[in-house]
Amino acid sequence: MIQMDSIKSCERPLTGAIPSPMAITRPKVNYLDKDLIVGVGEYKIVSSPLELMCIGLGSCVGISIWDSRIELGGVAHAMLPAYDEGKDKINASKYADSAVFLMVDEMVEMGASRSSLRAKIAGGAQMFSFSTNDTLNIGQRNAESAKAALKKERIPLLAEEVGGNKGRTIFFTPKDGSVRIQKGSEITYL
Amino acid sequence: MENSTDFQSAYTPDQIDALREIGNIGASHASTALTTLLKQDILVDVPECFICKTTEAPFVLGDPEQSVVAVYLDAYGKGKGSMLLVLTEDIAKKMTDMLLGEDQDPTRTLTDDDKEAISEIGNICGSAYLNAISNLLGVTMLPSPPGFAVGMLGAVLQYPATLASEEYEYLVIIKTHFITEGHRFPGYFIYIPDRETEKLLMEKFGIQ
Repeated sequence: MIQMDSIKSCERPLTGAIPSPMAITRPKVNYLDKDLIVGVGEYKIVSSPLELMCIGLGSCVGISIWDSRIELGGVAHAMLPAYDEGKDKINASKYADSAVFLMVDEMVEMGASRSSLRAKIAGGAQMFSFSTNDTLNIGQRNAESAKAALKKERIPLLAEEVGGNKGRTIFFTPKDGSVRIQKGSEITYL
Repeated sequence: MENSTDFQSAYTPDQIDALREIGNIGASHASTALTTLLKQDILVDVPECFICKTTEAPFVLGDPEQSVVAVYLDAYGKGKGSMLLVLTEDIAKKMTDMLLGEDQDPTRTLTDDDKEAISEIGNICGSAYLNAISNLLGVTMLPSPPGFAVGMLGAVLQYPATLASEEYEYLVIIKTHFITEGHRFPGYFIYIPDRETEKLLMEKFGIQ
């Protein structure tokens, strides 16, 4: 069985009972259950060999950040670009920029070192095609905001697959930071 | 359904009834419009109206990875809001066949003609729906040109969920069934009124 305390959901404050990465038990069984699906506007951090997935990334962007040294990684599933522009100031994890900041802080608290963090992003598609072009492309803005936030945190962005008009489902493996992207029947790896 | 019990605090049962009633009125207009357009009887039935969290919207309508088609309209004018029609691929293809008057292979991938036809069907359904609401409220509501999407249900629903999440914590989802030739096809209308229009609606039904 998966030890539930090795999985953390996004709600703050969480600083209390965080197990140090060394203390996290590493179960042999590797399966995906509901707790490993990162919901819209959430982020989750797990340690290897657990994996995380985001189902149906449309205009949302999936930001994967990991520290391969301790095999700890997290995925943020952000739906809006910027915390400052948003009206909802409570759920900061739904904005691409604040989600990155929160998740990075938390990973550092869990034992990751800032300098060994790496990132990959996927998503930010424009699902709806409009005959007029005056609609804001929220997917593109999400992706740009995520990239800007990673730059501010000085985390190298190793790979990205953003844009297009297809939804994506991503599987993230904190062990090596690989991201498997499923777009319909098409599968790519980052 | 757990959705309705969890969020009692967001809407009162009276308000949910009012919203369902709006769904019924809108759907009956849409059904008339469809029947006229497709020259075949299409019944639009509203079995369920429920409230869910905006962030959970992509997951409450069924398997988020199933392939659907969706048509999106914005409402302009005195009453504002946005409107989304979600259909499974089967019924979408069936409706295009009816519109174009030809029987095509139901397992085909959607062609450009299909997409155009579905946009138009969505446009007409959505406009009829908005019309019903604007008649009820006595305000003008004009639909924008339709936006079209085909893809994973979860991904498609993220767009309205994102728009709504800037204003709302909850969404009203009207589940419909399209009934034709004795078959029922599930579909969804999602209407997201802005705050002002929502107030008007509630006043109309005498609910505060």
